Amino acid sequence: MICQMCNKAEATVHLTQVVGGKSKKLDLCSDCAEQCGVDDPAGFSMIEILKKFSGVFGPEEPATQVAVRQPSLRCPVCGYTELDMSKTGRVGCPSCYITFEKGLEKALKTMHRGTRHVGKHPQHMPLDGPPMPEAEKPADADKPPVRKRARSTSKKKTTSAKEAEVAKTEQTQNTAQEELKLLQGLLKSKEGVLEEAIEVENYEYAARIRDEIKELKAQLEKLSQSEEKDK
Amino acid sequence: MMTLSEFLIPSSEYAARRGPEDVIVLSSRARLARNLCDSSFPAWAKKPERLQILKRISDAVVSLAPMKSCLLESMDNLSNNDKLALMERHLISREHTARGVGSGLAINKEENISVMINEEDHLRMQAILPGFQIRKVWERIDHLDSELEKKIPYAFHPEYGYLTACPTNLGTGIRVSAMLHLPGLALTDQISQIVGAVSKLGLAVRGIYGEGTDALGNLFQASNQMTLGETEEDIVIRLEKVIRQVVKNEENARQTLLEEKDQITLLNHIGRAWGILSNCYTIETRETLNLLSFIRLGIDLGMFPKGKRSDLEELFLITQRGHLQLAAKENMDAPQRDRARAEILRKKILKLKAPQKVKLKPLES
Ligand SMILES: [Zn+2]
Ligand SMILES: [Zn+2]
Repeated sequence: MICQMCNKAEATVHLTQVVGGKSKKLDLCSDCAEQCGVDDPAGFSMIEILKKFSGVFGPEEPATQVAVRQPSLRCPVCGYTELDMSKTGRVGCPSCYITFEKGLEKALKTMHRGTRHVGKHPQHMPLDGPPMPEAEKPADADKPPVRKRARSTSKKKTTSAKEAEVAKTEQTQNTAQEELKLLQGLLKSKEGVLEEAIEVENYEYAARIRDEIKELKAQLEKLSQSEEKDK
Repeated sequence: MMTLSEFLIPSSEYAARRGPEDVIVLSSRARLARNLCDSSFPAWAKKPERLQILKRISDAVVSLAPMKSCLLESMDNLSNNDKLALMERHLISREHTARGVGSGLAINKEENISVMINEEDHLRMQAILPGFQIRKVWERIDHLDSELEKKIPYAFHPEYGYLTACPTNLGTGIRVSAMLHLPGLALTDQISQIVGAVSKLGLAVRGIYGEGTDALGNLFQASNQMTLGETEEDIVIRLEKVIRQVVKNEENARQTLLEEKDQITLLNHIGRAWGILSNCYTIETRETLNLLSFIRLGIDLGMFPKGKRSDLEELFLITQRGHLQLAAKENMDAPQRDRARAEILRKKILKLKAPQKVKLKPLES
Protein backbone atom coordinates (compact mmCIF):
# COMPACT_ATOMS: atom_id res chain seq x y z
CA MET A 1 0.00 0.00 0.00
CA ILE A 2 1.36 3.41 -1.00
CA CYS A 3 1.26 6.51 1.23
CA GLN A 4 -1.68 8.70 0.26
CA MET A 5 0.19 11.85 1.07
CA CYS A 6 3.52 11.62 -0.73
CA ASN A 7 2.41 8.83 -3.08
CA LYS A 8 5.92 7.42 -2.83
CA ALA A 9 6.76 5.51 0.30
CA GLU A 10 5.10 2.39 1.63
CA ALA A 11 2.21 3.21 3.96
CA THR A 12 2.80 1.78 7.42
CA VAL A 13 0.40 3.89 9.48
CA HIS A 14 -3.31 3.50 8.97
CA LEU A 15 -5.55 6.09 10.50
CA THR A 16 -9.19 5.54 11.12
CA GLN A 17 -11.66 7.95 12.54
CA VAL A 18 -15.33 7.32 12.87
CA VAL A 19 -17.50 10.40 12.59
CA GLY A 20 -21.25 10.21 12.55
CA GLY A 21 -21.23 6.47 11.92
CA LYS A 22 -18.99 6.77 8.87
CA SER A 23 -15.47 5.50 9.06
CA LYS A 24 -12.73 7.40 7.28
CA LYS A 25 -9.36 5.90 6.48
CA LEU A 26 -6.01 7.34 5.64
CA ASP A 27 -2.84 5.38 4.88
CA LEU A 28 0.48 7.12 5.44
CA CYS A 29 4.17 6.37 5.42
CA SER A 30 5.95 6.86 8.72
CA ASP A 31 7.56 10.17 7.65
CA CYS A 32 4.30 11.75 6.58
CA ALA A 33 2.62 10.35 9.68
CA GLU A 34 5.15 12.03 11.92
CA GLN A 35 4.70 15.30 10.07
CA CYS A 36 0.97 15.16 10.75
CA GLY A 37 1.53 14.43 14.40
CA VAL A 38 -0.26 11.14 14.43
CA ASP A 39 1.80 9.63 17.22
CA ASP A 40 -0.63 11.13 19.63
CA PRO A 41 -4.40 10.80 19.33
CA ALA A 42 -4.85 14.16 21.01
CA GLY A 43 -2.35 15.85 18.76
CA PHE A 44 -3.79 15.15 15.38
CA SER A 45 -7.05 15.96 13.82
CA MET A 46 -8.32 13.91 10.96
CA ILE A 47 -10.20 16.93 9.68
CA GLU A 48 -6.99 18.96 9.62
CA ILE A 49 -5.20 16.27 7.68
CA LEU A 50 -8.11 15.89 5.30
CA LYS A 51 -8.14 19.60 4.68
CA LYS A 52 -4.50 19.52 3.69
CA PHE A 53 -5.03 16.67 1.29
CA SER A 54 -8.61 17.16 0.32
CA GLY A 55 -7.99 15.52 -3.04
CA VAL A 56 -7.58 12.16 -1.39
CA PHE A 57 -11.21 11.71 -0.49
CA GLY A 58 -12.98 12.94 -3.55
CA PRO A 59 -14.78 16.20 -4.10
CA GLU A 60 -17.36 16.01 -1.33
CA GLU A 61 -14.73 15.74 1.37
CA PRO A 62 -13.95 17.31 3.74
CA ALA A 63 -17.37 18.14 5.05
CA THR A 64 -16.43 21.79 5.35
CA GLN A 65 -16.11 22.16 1.62
CA VAL A 66 -18.74 24.56 0.41
CA ALA A 67 -20.14 24.57 -3.06
CA VAL A 68 -19.20 27.70 -4.97
CA ARG A 69 -22.25 29.30 -6.49
CA GLN A 70 -21.02 32.76 -7.30
CA PRO A 71 -17.26 32.94 -7.49
CA SER A 72 -17.50 36.70 -7.34
CA LEU A 73 -19.06 36.89 -3.87
CA ARG A 74 -16.61 38.72 -1.63
CA CYS A 75 -16.77 39.73 2.04
CA PRO A 76 -16.97 43.53 2.13
CA VAL A 77 -15.18 43.63 5.48
CA CYS A 78 -12.14 41.42 4.98
CA GLY A 79 -12.07 40.70 1.25
CA TYR A 80 -12.35 36.93 1.57
CA THR A 81 -14.06 35.30 -1.40
CA GLU A 82 -16.30 32.31 -1.62
CA LEU A 83 -13.58 30.63 -3.62
CA ASP A 84 -11.10 31.13 -0.77
CA MET A 85 -13.64 29.56 1.49
CA SER A 86 -14.14 26.49 -0.64
CA LYS A 87 -10.37 26.03 -0.82
CA THR A 88 -9.62 26.33 2.88
CA GLY A 89 -12.90 25.26 4.47
CA ARG A 90 -12.59 28.35 6.63
CA VAL A 91 -13.79 31.93 6.56
CA GLY A 92 -11.82 35.16 6.78
CA CYS A 93 -13.54 37.18 9.47
CA PRO A 94 -16.70 37.17 11.62
CA SER A 95 -18.63 39.11 8.98
CA CYS A 96 -17.99 36.38 6.41
CA TYR A 97 -20.72 34.38 8.14
CA ILE A 98 -23.21 37.00 7.00
CA THR A 99 -21.73 37.45 3.56
CA PHE A 100 -21.62 33.76 2.76
CA GLU A 101 -24.68 32.85 4.78
CA LYS A 102 -26.50 31.12 1.93
CA GLY A 103 -23.65 28.82 1.00
CA LEU A 104 -22.78 28.09 4.60
CA GLU A 105 -26.22 27.13 5.86
CA LYS A 106 -26.23 23.96 3.83
CA ALA A 107 -22.77 22.98 5.03
CA LEU A 108 -23.72 23.71 8.63
CA LYS A 109 -26.65 21.31 8.39
CA THR A 110 -24.36 18.43 7.49
CA MET A 111 -21.80 19.36 10.11
CA HIS A 112 -23.89 20.01 13.17
CA ARG A 113 -26.86 18.88 15.14
CA GLY A 114 -28.75 22.05 14.28
CA THR A 115 -28.19 25.39 12.63
CA ARG A 116 -29.16 27.53 15.59
CA HIS A 117 -26.99 28.27 18.57
CA VAL A 118 -28.64 27.32 21.85
CA GLY A 119 -25.65 27.47 24.20
CA LYS A 120 -23.87 30.12 26.19
CA HIS A 121 -24.27 33.82 25.42
CA PRO A 122 -21.85 36.56 26.38
CA GLN A 123 -23.29 38.57 29.27
CA HIS A 124 -21.06 41.56 28.86
CA MET A 125 -21.26 42.94 25.38
CA PRO A 126 -19.26 46.15 25.38
CA LEU A 127 -21.54 49.13 24.87
CA ASP A 128 -19.15 51.45 23.12
CA GLY A 129 -17.13 48.74 21.44
CA PRO A 130 -16.96 48.13 17.73
CA PRO A 131 -20.12 46.90 16.03
CA MET A 132 -21.07 43.30 16.64
CA PRO A 133 -21.04 41.12 13.55
CA GLU A 134 -24.78 40.57 13.82
CA ALA A 135 -25.21 44.16 12.69
CA GLU A 136 -22.97 43.66 9.70
CA LYS A 137 -24.44 43.13 6.32
CA PRO A 138 -23.29 43.88 2.82
CA ALA A 139 -25.50 46.62 1.44
CA ASP A 140 -26.13 44.83 -1.82
CA ALA A 141 -27.52 41.65 -0.26
CA ASP A 142 -30.86 40.97 -1.83
CA LYS A 143 -32.71 39.64 1.17
CA PRO A 144 -34.21 41.09 4.31
CA PRO A 145 -31.51 42.68 6.43
CA VAL A 146 -30.24 41.38 9.75
CA ARG A 147 -32.15 38.48 11.05
CA LYS A 148 -32.93 39.10 14.67
CA ARG A 149 -33.20 36.59 17.44
CA ALA A 150 -36.52 34.76 17.46
CA ARG A 151 -37.50 36.30 20.76
CA SER A 152 -36.71 39.82 19.57
CA THR A 153 -39.76 42.02 19.72
CA SER A 154 -38.39 44.85 17.65
CA LYS A 155 -39.92 43.56 14.44
CA LYS A 156 -43.53 42.53 14.51
CA LYS A 157 -45.03 40.20 11.98
CA THR A 158 -46.65 42.20 9.27
CA THR A 159 -50.25 41.42 8.42
CA SER A 160 -51.05 43.62 5.45
CA ALA A 161 -49.20 44.60 2.34
CA LYS A 162 -49.13 48.21 3.43
CA GLU A 163 -47.65 47.41 6.79
CA ALA A 164 -45.12 45.23 5.07
CA GLU A 165 -44.17 48.15 2.89
CA VAL A 166 -43.68 50.35 5.94
CA ALA A 167 -41.65 47.69 7.66
CA LYS A 168 -39.47 47.33 4.58
CA THR A 169 -38.57 51.00 4.49
CA GLU A 170 -37.83 50.88 8.16
CA GLN A 171 -35.56 47.94 7.63
CA THR A 172 -33.73 49.60 4.78
CA GLN A 173 -33.05 52.58 6.99
CA ASN A 174 -31.84 50.29 9.74
CA THR A 175 -29.47 48.59 7.33
CA ALA A 176 -28.06 51.89 6.19
CA GLN A 177 -27.46 52.98 9.74
CA GLU A 178 -25.98 49.65 10.63
CA GLU A 179 -23.68 49.81 7.66
CA LEU A 180 -22.60 53.29 8.64
CA LYS A 181 -21.77 52.02 12.10
CA LEU A 182 -19.94 49.08 10.66
CA LEU A 183 -17.85 51.19 8.35
CA GLN A 184 -16.95 53.55 11.16
CA GLY A 185 -15.84 50.66 13.33
CA LEU A 186 -13.87 49.22 10.48
CA LEU A 187 -12.19 52.52 9.75
CA LYS A 188 -11.12 52.79 13.37
CA SER A 189 -9.56 49.36 13.43
CA LYS A 190 -7.86 49.87 10.05
CA GLU A 191 -6.30 53.06 11.35
CA GLY A 192 -4.93 51.07 14.27
CA VAL A 193 -3.53 48.49 11.89
CA LEU A 194 -1.93 51.24 9.80
CA GLU A 195 -0.14 52.65 12.82
CA GLU A 196 1.05 49.20 13.75
CA ALA A 197 2.25 48.53 10.21
CA ILE A 198 4.28 51.71 10.16
CA GLU A 199 5.72 50.87 13.55
CA VAL A 200 7.06 47.52 12.34
CA GLU A 201 8.18 49.22 9.12
CA ASN A 202 6.02 47.12 6.85
CA TYR A 203 5.49 49.96 4.39
CA GLU A 204 4.17 47.84 1.59
CA TYR A 205 1.33 46.66 3.79
CA ALA A 206 0.87 50.12 5.25
CA ALA A 207 0.35 51.49 1.76
CA ARG A 208 -2.32 48.90 1.10
CA ILE A 209 -4.09 49.75 4.33
CA ARG A 210 -3.87 53.45 3.54
CA ASP A 211 -5.63 52.83 0.24
CA GLU A 212 -8.27 50.82 1.99
CA ILE A 213 -8.79 53.62 4.46
CA LYS A 214 -9.15 56.09 1.64
CA GLU A 215 -11.77 53.91 0.03
CA LEU A 216 -13.57 53.47 3.32
CA LYS A 217 -13.69 57.18 3.93
CA ALA A 218 -15.17 57.75 0.49
CA GLN A 219 -17.77 55.08 1.12
CA LEU A 220 -18.60 56.63 4.47
CA GLU A 221 -19.06 60.04 2.94
CA LYS A 222 -21.34 58.70 0.22
CA LEU A 223 -23.38 56.84 2.76
CA SER A 224 -23.87 59.76 5.13
CA GLN A 225 -24.84 61.98 2.20
CA SER A 226 -27.58 59.61 1.10
CA GLU A 227 -28.72 59.39 4.71
CA GLU A 228 -29.13 63.18 4.76
CA LYS A 229 -31.13 63.06 1.54
CA ASP A 230 -33.54 60.49 2.94
CA LYS A 231 -34.42 62.80 5.82
CA MET B 1 13.84 36.05 32.22
CA MET B 2 12.48 32.67 33.18
CA THR B 3 13.01 29.90 30.64
CA LEU B 4 10.27 27.42 29.88
CA SER B 5 12.15 24.56 31.56
CA GLU B 6 12.31 26.62 34.74
CA PHE B 7 8.62 27.33 34.60
CA LEU B 8 7.40 23.81 33.87
CA ILE B 9 6.49 21.46 36.70
CA PRO B 10 9.20 18.74 36.90
CA SER B 11 8.20 15.65 34.93
CA SER B 12 8.13 13.38 37.99
CA GLU B 13 5.78 15.76 39.78
CA TYR B 14 3.68 16.27 36.67
CA ALA B 15 3.28 12.51 36.21
CA ALA B 16 2.37 11.99 39.86
CA ARG B 17 -0.84 14.01 39.54
CA ARG B 18 -3.82 11.75 40.02
CA GLY B 19 -7.50 12.14 39.30
CA PRO B 20 -10.72 10.18 39.81
CA GLU B 21 -10.99 6.97 37.78
CA ASP B 22 -7.65 7.60 36.12
CA VAL B 23 -6.94 3.90 35.71
CA ILE B 24 -8.83 4.04 32.42
CA VAL B 25 -9.58 7.74 31.86
CA LEU B 26 -6.13 9.29 31.66
CA SER B 27 -7.22 12.91 31.33
CA SER B 28 -10.16 15.20 30.61
CA ARG B 29 -10.07 18.38 28.59
CA ALA B 30 -12.40 21.17 27.57
CA ARG B 31 -11.48 23.87 25.11
CA LEU B 32 -13.34 26.90 23.84
CA ALA B 33 -12.77 28.75 20.58
CA ARG B 34 -13.37 32.51 20.71
CA ASN B 35 -12.65 35.44 18.42
CA LEU B 36 -12.59 39.21 18.47
CA CYS B 37 -15.56 40.73 16.67
CA ASP B 38 -13.53 43.33 14.82
CA SER B 39 -10.57 41.48 13.35
CA SER B 40 -9.91 38.97 10.62
CA PHE B 41 -9.22 35.42 11.75
CA PRO B 42 -5.51 34.65 12.30
CA ALA B 43 -4.91 32.79 9.04
CA TRP B 44 -6.30 35.74 7.04
CA ALA B 45 -5.08 38.65 9.17
CA LYS B 46 -1.75 40.19 8.17
CA LYS B 47 1.16 40.31 10.57
CA PRO B 48 0.57 43.81 12.01
CA GLU B 49 -3.05 42.96 12.70
CA ARG B 50 -2.06 39.69 14.32
CA LEU B 51 0.45 41.50 16.53
CA GLN B 52 -2.25 43.93 17.56
CA ILE B 53 -4.64 41.08 18.39
CA LEU B 54 -1.93 39.28 20.36
CA LYS B 55 -1.32 42.37 22.45
CA ARG B 56 -5.00 43.00 23.16
CA ILE B 57 -5.72 39.43 24.16
CA SER B 58 -2.53 38.95 26.18
CA ASP B 59 -3.27 42.06 28.23
CA ALA B 60 -6.77 40.80 28.96
CA VAL B 61 -5.69 37.25 29.78
CA VAL B 62 -2.94 38.10 32.26
CA SER B 63 -5.30 40.39 34.16
CA LEU B 64 -7.56 37.46 35.09
CA ALA B 65 -7.39 35.96 38.58
CA PRO B 66 -6.99 32.30 37.46
CA MET B 67 -4.02 33.35 35.33
CA LYS B 68 -2.13 35.03 38.16
CA SER B 69 1.62 34.52 37.76
CA CYS B 70 1.10 32.63 34.54
CA LEU B 71 3.69 32.18 31.86
CA LEU B 72 2.99 34.48 28.93
CA GLU B 73 5.13 33.97 25.88
CA SER B 74 5.19 34.91 22.26
CA MET B 75 5.61 31.77 20.15
CA ASP B 76 8.73 33.12 18.44
CA ASN B 77 10.47 33.24 21.83
CA LEU B 78 10.15 29.51 22.32
CA SER B 79 12.59 26.94 20.98
CA ASN B 80 11.41 23.94 19.01
CA ASN B 81 12.04 21.71 21.99
CA ASP B 82 10.04 24.03 24.24
CA LYS B 83 7.12 23.79 21.84
CA LEU B 84 7.40 20.02 21.58
CA ALA B 85 7.47 19.63 25.35
CA LEU B 86 4.36 21.83 25.65
CA MET B 87 2.61 19.72 23.08
CA GLU B 88 3.62 16.51 24.85
CA ARG B 89 1.98 17.90 27.98
CA HIS B 90 -1.14 18.67 25.91
CA LEU B 91 -0.83 22.39 26.65
CA ILE B 92 -0.64 23.45 23.03
CA SER B 93 -1.82 21.88 19.80
CA ARG B 94 0.45 20.56 17.09
CA GLU B 95 -0.72 23.36 14.83
CA HIS B 96 0.40 25.90 17.41
CA THR B 97 3.95 24.51 17.51
CA ALA B 98 4.33 25.75 13.95
CA ARG B 99 3.49 29.36 14.84
CA GLY B 100 5.93 32.16 15.46
CA VAL B 101 5.64 35.94 15.44
CA GLY B 102 2.11 37.15 16.11
CA SER B 103 1.01 34.09 18.07
CA GLY B 104 1.28 33.53 21.78
CA LEU B 105 0.53 31.37 24.71
CA ALA B 106 -0.39 31.70 28.37
CA ILE B 107 -0.20 28.85 30.89
CA ASN B 108 -1.12 29.01 34.54
CA LYS B 109 1.27 27.79 37.22
CA GLU B 110 -0.59 24.53 37.84
CA GLU B 111 -0.44 23.77 34.11
CA ASN B 112 -4.12 22.99 33.94
CA ILE B 113 -5.24 26.06 32.03
CA SER B 114 -3.66 27.14 28.79
CA VAL B 115 -4.60 29.86 26.36
CA MET B 116 -3.39 29.81 22.78
CA ILE B 117 -3.54 33.16 21.05
CA ASN B 118 -3.81 33.33 17.28
CA GLU B 119 -3.96 29.63 16.69
CA GLU B 120 -6.70 28.85 14.17
CA ASP B 121 -8.90 31.23 16.16
CA HIS B 122 -7.87 34.36 18.01
CA LEU B 123 -8.40 32.48 21.25
CA ARG B 124 -8.29 28.85 22.12
CA MET B 125 -8.49 28.27 25.83
CA GLN B 126 -8.46 24.92 27.51
CA ALA B 127 -8.64 23.33 30.94
CA ILE B 128 -7.08 19.91 31.45
CA LEU B 129 -7.18 17.66 34.51
CA PRO B 130 -6.07 14.11 35.18
CA GLY B 131 -8.76 11.42 35.37
CA PHE B 132 -12.46 11.56 34.64
CA GLN B 133 -13.34 15.21 35.29
CA ILE B 134 -15.27 16.29 32.22
CA ARG B 135 -17.66 18.49 34.15
CA LYS B 136 -14.94 20.13 36.16
CA VAL B 137 -12.84 21.09 33.15
CA TRP B 138 -15.92 22.57 31.49
CA GLU B 139 -16.77 24.59 34.59
CA ARG B 140 -13.25 25.89 34.86
CA ILE B 141 -12.99 27.02 31.28
CA ASP B 142 -16.54 28.42 31.39
CA HIS B 143 -15.51 30.58 34.31
CA LEU B 144 -12.38 31.83 32.59
CA ASP B 145 -14.40 32.62 29.48
CA SER B 146 -16.99 34.59 31.46
CA GLU B 147 -14.23 36.67 33.02
CA LEU B 148 -12.56 37.26 29.69
CA GLU B 149 -15.71 38.39 27.91
CA LYS B 150 -15.84 41.41 30.23
CA LYS B 151 -12.54 42.56 28.78
CA ILE B 152 -12.68 41.82 25.09
CA PRO B 153 -15.51 42.03 22.56
CA TYR B 154 -16.26 38.54 21.26
CA ALA B 155 -17.56 37.79 17.81
CA PHE B 156 -21.00 36.51 18.63
CA HIS B 157 -24.08 36.09 16.45
CA PRO B 158 -27.46 35.42 18.04
CA GLU B 159 -28.24 32.66 15.59
CA TYR B 160 -24.82 31.13 14.97
CA GLY B 161 -23.34 31.69 18.42
CA TYR B 162 -19.61 32.23 18.81
CA LEU B 163 -18.13 32.79 15.37
CA THR B 164 -15.03 30.76 14.53
CA ALA B 165 -12.54 30.56 11.70
CA CYS B 166 -13.77 27.11 10.77
CA PRO B 167 -17.51 26.46 10.58
CA THR B 168 -16.98 23.08 12.26
CA ASN B 169 -16.44 24.91 15.57
CA LEU B 170 -19.28 27.37 15.20
CA GLY B 171 -21.84 27.85 17.98
CA THR B 172 -20.53 26.85 21.36
CA GLY B 173 -16.95 26.55 20.11
CA ILE B 174 -16.53 23.79 22.63
CA ARG B 175 -14.58 20.57 22.36
CA VAL B 176 -14.69 18.33 25.41
CA SER B 177 -12.62 15.20 25.32
CA ALA B 178 -11.20 12.41 27.38
CA MET B 179 -8.15 10.29 26.75
CA LEU B 180 -8.95 6.65 27.33
CA HIS B 181 -6.60 3.71 27.79
CA LEU B 182 -8.39 0.63 26.47
CA PRO B 183 -6.00 -2.35 26.27
CA GLY B 184 -8.65 -4.75 27.58
CA LEU B 185 -11.07 -3.96 24.78
CA ALA B 186 -8.24 -4.20 22.28
CA LEU B 187 -7.07 -7.60 23.51
CA THR B 188 -10.61 -8.95 23.45
CA ASP B 189 -11.28 -7.58 19.95
CA GLN B 190 -14.13 -5.34 20.99
CA ILE B 191 -12.71 -1.98 19.97
CA SER B 192 -14.36 -1.55 16.59
CA GLN B 193 -17.70 -2.55 18.05
CA ILE B 194 -17.45 0.02 20.84
CA VAL B 195 -16.11 2.74 18.55
CA GLY B 196 -18.99 2.14 16.17
CA ALA B 197 -21.57 2.37 18.93
CA VAL B 198 -20.09 5.59 20.30
CA SER B 199 -19.92 7.28 16.93
CA LYS B 200 -23.62 6.70 16.39
CA LEU B 201 -24.17 9.09 19.29
CA GLY B 202 -22.50 11.95 17.46
CA LEU B 203 -19.22 11.57 19.28
CA ALA B 204 -15.87 10.80 17.73
CA VAL B 205 -13.46 8.21 18.98
CA ARG B 206 -10.00 8.44 17.58
CA GLY B 207 -7.32 5.85 17.65
CA ILE B 208 -4.23 5.32 15.59
CA TYR B 209 -3.72 2.03 13.89
CA GLY B 210 -0.31 0.68 13.05
CA GLU B 211 0.20 -2.68 11.41
CA GLY B 212 -2.55 -5.04 12.49
CA THR B 213 -5.62 -4.05 14.36
CA ASP B 214 -4.28 -2.65 17.61
CA ALA B 215 -4.36 1.08 18.14
CA LEU B 216 -1.13 2.81 18.96
CA GLY B 217 -0.63 2.61 22.72
CA ASN B 218 -4.26 1.44 23.01
CA LEU B 219 -5.11 5.10 23.38
CA PHE B 220 -8.39 6.57 22.26
CA GLN B 221 -9.71 10.07 22.48
CA ALA B 222 -13.45 10.47 22.82
CA SER B 223 -14.84 13.91 22.04
CA ASN B 224 -17.87 15.76 20.75
CA GLN B 225 -17.78 16.63 17.06
CA MET B 226 -20.71 18.98 16.72
CA THR B 227 -20.81 22.41 18.29
CA LEU B 228 -23.95 24.00 16.91
CA GLY B 229 -27.51 23.18 17.87
CA GLU B 230 -27.04 21.89 21.39
CA THR B 231 -25.96 23.38 24.68
CA GLU B 232 -22.60 22.89 26.37
CA GLU B 233 -24.44 21.13 29.19
CA ASP B 234 -26.01 18.61 26.78
CA ILE B 235 -22.63 17.90 25.24
CA VAL B 236 -20.96 17.40 28.60
CA ILE B 237 -23.71 15.07 29.86
CA ARG B 238 -23.66 12.97 26.72
CA LEU B 239 -19.91 12.59 26.76
CA GLU B 240 -19.93 11.71 30.46
CA LYS B 241 -22.54 9.05 29.87
CA VAL B 242 -20.71 7.52 26.96
CA ILE B 243 -17.35 7.49 28.73
CA ARG B 244 -18.91 5.87 31.76
CA GLN B 245 -20.20 3.12 29.48
CA VAL B 246 -16.86 2.62 27.75
CA VAL B 247 -15.10 2.47 31.12
CA LYS B 248 -17.50 -0.23 32.24
CA ASN B 249 -16.85 -2.20 29.05
CA GLU B 250 -13.11 -1.91 29.54
CA GLU B 251 -13.40 -3.08 33.14
CA ASN B 252 -15.42 -6.09 32.05
CA ALA B 253 -12.91 -6.90 29.35
CA ARG B 254 -10.07 -6.79 31.88
CA GLN B 255 -12.02 -9.09 34.18
CA THR B 256 -12.63 -11.53 31.34
CA LEU B 257 -8.91 -11.61 30.60
CA LEU B 258 -8.11 -12.24 34.25
CA GLU B 259 -10.54 -15.14 34.36
CA GLU B 260 -9.04 -16.76 31.30
CA LYS B 261 -7.19 -20.01 31.94
CA ASP B 262 -3.70 -19.21 33.31
CA GLN B 263 -4.31 -15.56 32.34
CA ILE B 264 -2.46 -16.57 29.23
CA THR B 265 -3.31 -13.59 26.99
CA LEU B 266 -2.40 -11.06 29.64
CA LEU B 267 0.81 -12.73 30.71
CA ASN B 268 1.85 -13.23 27.11
CA HIS B 269 1.40 -9.58 26.12
CA ILE B 270 2.59 -8.01 29.33
CA GLY B 271 5.49 -10.42 29.67
CA ARG B 272 6.70 -9.79 26.12
CA ALA B 273 6.41 -6.02 26.65
CA TRP B 274 8.45 -6.31 29.82
CA GLY B 275 11.01 -8.52 28.08
CA ILE B 276 11.63 -6.10 25.24
CA LEU B 277 11.60 -2.90 27.28
CA SER B 278 13.96 -4.28 29.90
CA ASN B 279 16.40 -5.44 27.25
CA CYS B 280 16.24 -2.84 24.50
CA TYR B 281 19.18 -0.70 23.38
CA THR B 282 17.38 1.34 20.75
CA ILE B 283 13.65 1.86 20.43
CA GLU B 284 11.24 4.10 18.50
CA THR B 285 8.40 6.14 19.97
CA ARG B 286 5.68 4.02 18.43
CA GLU B 287 6.98 0.76 19.80
CA THR B 288 7.52 2.42 23.15
CA LEU B 289 3.91 3.58 23.32
CA ASN B 290 2.61 0.13 22.46
CA LEU B 291 4.76 -1.71 24.96
CA LEU B 292 4.36 0.77 27.79
CA SER B 293 0.61 0.42 27.36
CA PHE B 294 0.87 -3.22 28.41
CA ILE B 295 3.14 -2.37 31.32
CA ARG B 296 0.51 0.15 32.43
CA LEU B 297 -2.13 -2.56 32.20
CA GLY B 298 0.09 -4.91 34.19
CA ILE B 299 0.50 -2.32 36.93
CA ASP B 300 -3.26 -1.64 37.00
CA LEU B 301 -3.97 -5.36 37.40
CA GLY B 302 -1.34 -5.90 40.08
CA MET B 303 1.01 -8.00 37.97
CA PHE B 304 3.96 -5.83 38.96
CA PRO B 305 3.94 -5.60 42.75
CA LYS B 306 6.68 -2.97 42.63
CA GLY B 307 5.14 -0.93 39.83
CA LYS B 308 3.66 2.48 40.44
CA ARG B 309 1.47 4.26 37.94
CA SER B 310 3.18 7.60 38.54
CA ASP B 311 6.58 6.12 37.57
CA LEU B 312 5.04 4.74 34.44
CA GLU B 313 3.33 7.98 33.46
CA GLU B 314 6.68 9.70 33.92
CA LEU B 315 8.23 7.23 31.47
CA PHE B 316 5.55 8.06 28.91
CA LEU B 317 6.41 11.73 29.27
CA ILE B 318 10.21 11.74 29.41
CA THR B 319 10.73 9.34 26.52
CA GLN B 320 9.02 11.69 24.08
CA ARG B 321 11.11 13.74 21.73
CA GLY B 322 10.73 17.20 23.27
CA HIS B 323 11.25 16.08 26.83
CA LEU B 324 14.21 13.91 25.84
CA GLN B 325 15.92 16.81 24.12
CA LEU B 326 15.10 19.36 26.80
CA ALA B 327 16.60 17.04 29.41
CA ALA B 328 19.68 16.43 27.27
CA LYS B 329 19.90 20.17 26.55
CA GLU B 330 20.70 19.40 22.94
CA ASN B 331 19.08 18.31 19.72
CA MET B 332 19.52 14.70 18.80
CA ASP B 333 18.90 12.88 15.54
CA ALA B 334 16.43 10.01 15.48
CA PRO B 335 18.94 7.18 16.13
CA GLN B 336 20.39 9.13 19.05
CA ARG B 337 16.96 9.65 20.50
CA ASP B 338 16.10 5.97 20.07
CA ARG B 339 19.21 5.07 22.04
CA ALA B 340 18.60 7.62 24.78
CA ARG B 341 15.00 6.42 25.07
CA ALA B 342 16.07 2.78 25.37
CA GLU B 343 18.60 3.73 28.04
CA ILE B 344 15.91 5.27 30.24
CA LEU B 345 13.37 2.50 29.65
CA ARG B 346 15.70 -0.43 30.13
CA LYS B 347 16.82 0.64 33.59
CA LYS B 348 13.39 1.55 34.89
CA ILE B 349 11.52 -1.44 33.52
CA LEU B 350 14.16 -3.92 34.68
CA LYS B 351 13.49 -2.79 38.24
CA LEU B 352 9.86 -3.90 37.94
CA LYS B 353 10.77 -7.60 37.72
CA ALA B 354 8.84 -9.93 35.39
CA PRO B 355 5.01 -9.90 35.63
CA GLN B 356 3.27 -12.34 37.95
CA LYS B 357 -0.06 -14.07 37.62
CA VAL B 358 -2.57 -12.35 39.90
CA LYS B 359 -4.96 -13.92 42.36
CA LEU B 360 -8.54 -13.30 41.32
CA LYS B 361 -10.64 -11.01 43.39
CA PRO B 362 -14.30 -12.03 43.53
CA LEU B 363 -16.38 -10.10 41.01
CA GLU B 364 -18.37 -7.23 42.44
CA SER B 365 -22.04 -7.72 41.90
ZN1 LIG C 1 4.33 9.64 2.69
ZN1 LIG D 1 -14.94 38.59 6.04
